[in-house]
Amino acid sequence: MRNRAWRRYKEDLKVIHRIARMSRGGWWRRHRDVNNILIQEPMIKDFIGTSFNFMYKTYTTDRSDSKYKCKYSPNKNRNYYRDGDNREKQRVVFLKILKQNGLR
Amino acid sequence: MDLDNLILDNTGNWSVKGNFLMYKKLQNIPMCFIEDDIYYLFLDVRLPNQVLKLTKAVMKLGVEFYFTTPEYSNPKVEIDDNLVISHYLFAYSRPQFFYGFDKIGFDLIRNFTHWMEKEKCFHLLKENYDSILKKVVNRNWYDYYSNTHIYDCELDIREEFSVMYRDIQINRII
Repeated sequence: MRNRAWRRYKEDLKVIHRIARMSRGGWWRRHRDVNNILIQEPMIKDFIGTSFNFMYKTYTTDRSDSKYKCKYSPNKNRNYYRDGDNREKQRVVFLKILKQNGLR
Repeated sequence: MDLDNLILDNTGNWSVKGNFLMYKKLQNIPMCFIEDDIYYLFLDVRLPNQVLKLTKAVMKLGVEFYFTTPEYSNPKVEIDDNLVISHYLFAYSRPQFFYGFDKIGFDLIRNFTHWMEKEKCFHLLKENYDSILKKVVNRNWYDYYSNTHIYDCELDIREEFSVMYRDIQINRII
């Protein structure tokens, strides 16, 4: 069940939640989107492709409560240190191997 | 002519709602519509890969098509040729489209020239071109550490834009 599609779905939910919170709040509502269009009252879709969208894709922050948090997992309350072997590091190694063999 | 032909895959992200072909990325974003038997694609910088795929698909269909600004998906916005011209130029200055169209073998400037010929709005080009060249393409700031000007756009794009006005005039003659 918890495959890549599920993880992306949960990530999208998180990003939508964060962007919606940002688009609602604040007194300064004008926003220039990536198409260089000035929008008076931006909605969620107006933030797609902006730096906010990419920034909000992360699930960790500098704060201690989320710094070592496990991503969208049932065990997310159990902290663990990310300096071990994890998906991100495995992916870097995998891409390096692909490049060495001329597959990428 | 049917927008259902342009649903590119079975992922469920593509859909037809009303007069628009939509792509879902967080929310449904309009990608294409048909007016007077002409396909109009939204040149949307939010979804560059999907726009390029759609362009490829429309090229395969062999029909007449042009691009337009995503602002026109909003029925509140009045149609103005200035908006479309500036958006054509702005989108072409983005690296995703500049290199992407080159990769799929599509000449955006030629398409742009044909659209201007159709709408008879060549007199609006010079003003918009100068504006985009100054405000977007040649936008820079001075780095006091290295004593150099740092440009937002890459060198390839700046060089292309410096001769683009002449290219459009040549395309118009041909």
